[in-house]
Amino acid sequence: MDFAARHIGFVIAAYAAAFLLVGGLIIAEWLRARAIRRRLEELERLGAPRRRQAANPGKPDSKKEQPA
Amino acid sequence: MGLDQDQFLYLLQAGRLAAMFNYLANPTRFLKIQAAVQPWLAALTVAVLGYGLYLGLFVAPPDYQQGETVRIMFIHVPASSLALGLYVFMAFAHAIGFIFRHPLAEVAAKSAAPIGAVLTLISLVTGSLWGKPMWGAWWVWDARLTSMFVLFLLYLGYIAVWQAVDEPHRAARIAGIVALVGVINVPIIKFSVEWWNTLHQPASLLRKGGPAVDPAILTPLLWNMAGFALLAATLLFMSMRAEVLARRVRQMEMAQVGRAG
Repeated sequence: MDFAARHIGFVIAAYAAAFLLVGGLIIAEWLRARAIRRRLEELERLGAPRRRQAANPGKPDSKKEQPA
Repeated sequence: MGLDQDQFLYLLQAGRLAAMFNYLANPTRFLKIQAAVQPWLAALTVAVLGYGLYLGLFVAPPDYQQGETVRIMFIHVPASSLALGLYVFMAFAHAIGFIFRHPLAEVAAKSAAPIGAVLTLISLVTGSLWGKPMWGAWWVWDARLTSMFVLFLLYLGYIAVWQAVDEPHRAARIAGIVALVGVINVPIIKFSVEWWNTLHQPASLLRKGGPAVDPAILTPLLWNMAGFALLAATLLFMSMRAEVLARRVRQMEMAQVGRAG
């Protein structure tokens, strides 16, 4: 690549913009994943059940087949 | 009515494909597969995209008319084609979600949207930076540019639906309609340069008679297209993992509220 060429600023700007946008997306995804992982760990530490049914063991699960 | 051998084999293949789909649709199984595949996929992305960018920036010759600005093509074309491809993927995933109720289909569609939106924005920005020195204008409202801008708005609208509706299944239904209706725009973008008189050049890769690009330019372009596709796949896998875990968090929070009540 000839850095002294005409219009080279447009080429550099295009690549810089692409790197910034992709980099921003990667950072945003990583931060989101980290926040979710931390929240999940916190809930597991608190002993939160995985499903609603597990929270109410006495109640019948409406999705399960009931005996006739 | 009997089946001949070809029809039987076709049905067998379709059955196997459906079984594979079912196997992969389990979120817990997906998380295991994703954890195993992700590092290799990321490494392959860095290698292929790195090599593609090296070829594009330092090996490909400058164009005899456009000079060095032709190098913008190595990011503009892969970003544009993937932006379209991801929208089709989203619509397809929603169709699968509507028909088969696969739990991962909605997750895949939702996760693809921000990636597609960013790639569309890259396409618009790099196209504008290419247009100014070549056409003398940052932007023109021709059919290709306008339809690409509409694609960007569709992505934003789709993301907004997921943000606005709290209940995931309801959000998925509305977002699915946006995705399936909006997919009409994809062939409009593709054929806009043939149906209307545009400043944007006609298709030079997928056209009758094969690519109109010299191999010295085509080879780096194909490497970059492969690199961008791998990048999108890596980001999609990352995002899908986060979304599966986010749904698990939501379930646990609701269960905890239920237990407290």
